[in-house]
Amino acid sequence: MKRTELEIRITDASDGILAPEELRQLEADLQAFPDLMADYHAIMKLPDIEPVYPKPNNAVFAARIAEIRNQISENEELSTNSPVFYELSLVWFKRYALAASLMVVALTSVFSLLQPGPEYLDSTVMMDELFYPAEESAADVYVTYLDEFTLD
Amino acid sequence: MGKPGKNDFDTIIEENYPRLHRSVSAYLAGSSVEPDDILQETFLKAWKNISGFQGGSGIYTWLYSIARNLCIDEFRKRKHEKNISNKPVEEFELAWDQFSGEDNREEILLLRKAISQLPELLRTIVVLKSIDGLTYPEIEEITGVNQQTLKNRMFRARKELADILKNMGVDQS
Repeated sequence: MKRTELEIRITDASDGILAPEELRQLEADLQAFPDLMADYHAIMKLPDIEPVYPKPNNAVFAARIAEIRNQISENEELSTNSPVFYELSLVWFKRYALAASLMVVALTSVFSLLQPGPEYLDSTVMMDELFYPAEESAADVYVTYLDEFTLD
Repeated sequence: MGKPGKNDFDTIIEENYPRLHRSVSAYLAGSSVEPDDILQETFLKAWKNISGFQGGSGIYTWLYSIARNLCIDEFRKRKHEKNISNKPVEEFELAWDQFSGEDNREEILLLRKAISQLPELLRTIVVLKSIDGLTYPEIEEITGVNQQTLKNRMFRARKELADILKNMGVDQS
């Protein structure tokens, strides 16, 4: 028999739901597990802890209960007097704020992943051609242009 | 009672507040979190969300789940207040306590302190099962933990409680 099964049966025993025959069987099974047998004896000796917290008299809490009732009444008034504000602030906002923020994040990610537009590509190609010209004539123009400025 | 609505709330508070207060006091023993504050918030939250109560579980277990979640939130906020075991036993006394004698008082306060030293997972089960008298299926509703695991944790909780009491020098014979 597994230890965990024995532990569960020890719990049943301490809950008082095992019949005398089952209790005897449990003790016999525990012979093979001396450490569990020691735990079993220690657990069965535990005092009843139910009376450790006495059941309080309802009158003790009369003031507290009244206070909670007052708070609920105030909330009730708030929700009936200004249903629009209440709906908007407590219901609508809570329901849709997360969805809206997730949508903003998603849209931002989508835009950042988009390819650059044709204007950007054109200007990049023009600059590249200026510095690393594909045609000879274009390089001449560039060199002439530089010469004009340095000679002055 | 079928599925309750906001109109039934007066009765719900009246019927459940004292029992819930006792359980939450046991659960929070030794910590600086006030059961009264937790319960006030619990009932307000329950009132606001009563339409979400399915009615399948008992109203008490539903309220207890709300209270327990609020307590756990509070524990998270007060992470720095870890060492609850060093509190003197006198601090485990409740406003409505009526002890039959000084020996009885000392033993009860030591037992409360021992329960408070259990880890949260084990303390919940001990409070719900041994103090509140809930069944394992009801505890399953509150904690979301299956009954076999709950019984296994109950074994560990009782074993640990026996060790704590032994270390405190409480006679268990």
